[in-house]
Amino acid sequence: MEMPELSRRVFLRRSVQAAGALALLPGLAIGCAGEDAAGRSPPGLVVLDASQWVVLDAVADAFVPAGGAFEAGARSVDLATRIDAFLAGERPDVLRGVGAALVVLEWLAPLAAGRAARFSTLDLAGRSAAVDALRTSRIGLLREVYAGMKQLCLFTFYACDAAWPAIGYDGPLVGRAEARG
Amino acid sequence: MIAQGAELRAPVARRTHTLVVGSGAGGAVVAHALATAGVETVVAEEGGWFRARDMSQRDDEMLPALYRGRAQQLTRDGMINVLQGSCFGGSTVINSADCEPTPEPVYEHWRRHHGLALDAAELRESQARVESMLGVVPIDATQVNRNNGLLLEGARRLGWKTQVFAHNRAGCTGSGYCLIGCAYDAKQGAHLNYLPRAVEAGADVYTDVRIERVVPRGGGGFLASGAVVSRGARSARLPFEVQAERAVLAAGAVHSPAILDASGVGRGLPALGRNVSLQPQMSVAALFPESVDVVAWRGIPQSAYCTEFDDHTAEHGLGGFRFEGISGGMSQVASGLGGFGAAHKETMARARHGALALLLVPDAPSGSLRWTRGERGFAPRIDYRMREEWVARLRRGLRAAAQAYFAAGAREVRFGSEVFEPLRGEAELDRALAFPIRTGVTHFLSAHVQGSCRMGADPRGSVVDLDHQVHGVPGLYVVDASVFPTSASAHTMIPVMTFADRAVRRMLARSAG
Ligand SMILES: Cc1cc2nc3c(=O)[nH]c(=O)nc-3n(C[C@H](O)[C@H](O)[C@H](O)COP(=O)(O)OP(=O)(O)OC[C@H]3O[C@@H](n4cnc5c(N)ncnc54)[C@H](O)[C@@H]3O)c2cc1C
Ligand code: SF4
Repeated sequence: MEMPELSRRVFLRRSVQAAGALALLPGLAIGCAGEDAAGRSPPGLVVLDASQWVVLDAVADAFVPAGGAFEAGARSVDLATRIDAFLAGERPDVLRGVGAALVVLEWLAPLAAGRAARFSTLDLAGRSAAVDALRTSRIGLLREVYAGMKQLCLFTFYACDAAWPAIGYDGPLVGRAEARG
Repeated sequence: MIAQGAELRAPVARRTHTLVVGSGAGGAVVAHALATAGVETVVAEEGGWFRARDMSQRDDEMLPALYRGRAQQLTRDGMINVLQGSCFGGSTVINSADCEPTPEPVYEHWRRHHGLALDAAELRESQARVESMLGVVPIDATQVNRNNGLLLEGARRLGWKTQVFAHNRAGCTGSGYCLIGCAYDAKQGAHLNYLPRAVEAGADVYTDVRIERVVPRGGGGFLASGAVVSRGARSARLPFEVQAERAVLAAGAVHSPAILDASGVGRGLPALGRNVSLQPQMSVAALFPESVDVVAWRGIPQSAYCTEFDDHTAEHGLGGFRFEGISGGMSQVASGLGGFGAAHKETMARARHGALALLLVPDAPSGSLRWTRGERGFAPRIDYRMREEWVARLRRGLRAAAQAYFAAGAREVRFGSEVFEPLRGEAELDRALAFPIRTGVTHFLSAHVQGSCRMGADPRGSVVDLDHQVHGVPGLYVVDASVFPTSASAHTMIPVMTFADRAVRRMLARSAG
């Protein structure tokens, strides 16, 4: 069950040197998500910069799109901004990893799906195909970027009260008149 | 007294007889017995003190607050999430309260293959004291929820042996939030018994205090140093120092060896940080027809299991595999479920009809640890290798768990994978035998990390002796899950506490003698 060295490098809590190295590759700086990023992102971000937020917003929408089985989706709960707040207590190395993962998503994921465009400019179908290309990639690092982003997006989305009615979860019992079993 | 970090405004420098590092299963038992025996005792706990009123029953708030690394402590390959509680009471605050002692064949394995001359009567007495303090009783059949009940139903239809756990709960309302802290003080973790009684008996507990080094002093005793840390980020705020005659490391199997290593004590102990068991577990999720309202998130999360495939022998210790019902918060369930996008939403929309179990596959020690130390404490590197034999057992276990769910009427069964297509009926069961294990797309968790400071007689192959004392360092002890030579049990709280009770009685006998 030995894994190739590359696939040992994982983002989030995983070895962040790899992610840091990726971020250093020429032309892969994250500040490329469009010149109008500042205008598209909300004020008061805690850990992300405007262009990272734009990419994350596009990623979150691919992981939890609106409609389908239920209406609520990443954008209806402003998931990217919630993730920014959730990441506030994280270690600097983890934050560097998240930043590097966003670089991979913005630039490499579309290529992996055969599309020559930045992730944040693709329509939902294009972005879903790009995310799926990471999931099924033969390159461990790309699968790990998928796993890390998925964890972040789905964990944070289903922590929102707004997501609960559609899945039948009635939420915490504390604070209610009586705790029900 | 209990002093919380935020209340401390100046550097702390103290003297005491015994310093206990960590207030979890091991540390709490030791602190209580020492304080009750009149030994001046200080406990330092890196995590915060959270009371019932602080438990918000929200994953996004409680996982970061109560767990090590915000519940994201991964092996180096990213595949296994190594969960540990990190708060006043340690993992006993966030565990699922299953009480299962070390099976006799495991003790026998340790006697025969690891040279541990363990006295059965002494262990029985320690276990009885622990169970009495925690109020261990069998879970009443009426408290087994539908989620766990379906697993029992399926296994029984196949003629397989099943069991309902014993637990340390009293007055449980079945809220379902054990893994993120009980808001009703029903789960009897160490924060509700051993620790408050230790404090009553005179122990001083500091929370939000990280010990980083415990260095032997020339004239005897130890100088322990570390920091008062901020809640949450755990950045060092103020220096913290304790001079003690005796030091007991009970910081859990990832951090006790880190402290030894940072203290320079590891030199000459090649087994330090090695022989780590993670006992990895994998989720098994079953979707039932809409007529079956499971509502897995309510009721005691883990109450029943299938024992048919337990295989514990004196030859290999803990073995086989077992599956146990479980539930968790919706965020955890959602992020662990394979896939994304519209398809994932569709599965989540049927959450009420989903049942969840964990397949637990005991491992031979297969991991090792290294650490770097920074401003926020130790950053562990956890390396883990899955052995071929273990992988084969895992796959057989996945197949068996799915078979039980299909026998109970499930329509489809999924495992912790992003790429493995769900099984859609009994005819597909054999696909489980080729279950792929790949970084990034296969998810395991570990709730029972053990073994990094293995007990044994020989310093070349172990770290502590039979009295838990670090080889060659009189007065320095390790009393937590680190010391087990191999996995102690499918559930390690009672084993850790039993060993801790035995250890502290030996300490007291030694100082009396
Ligand atoms: C999610 C989960 C569910 C579980 N469910 C069960 C169950 O149902 N039944 C069962 O028997 N077992 C269960 N366990 C396992 C069991 O709780 C643990 O094996 C047991 O608590 C380990 O005891 P310990 O003393 O080694 O460490 P812990 O109980 O984890 O305590 C260690 C403490 O040391 C502190 N610490 C660490 N480093 C430092 C430092 N440098 N300075 C100061 N303090 C430090 C930590 O913050 C922590 O509070 C579960 C574990 C988890 C994570
Ligand atoms: S299920 Fe029982 S023990 Fe667990 S959190 Fe709810 S009330 Fe507490």
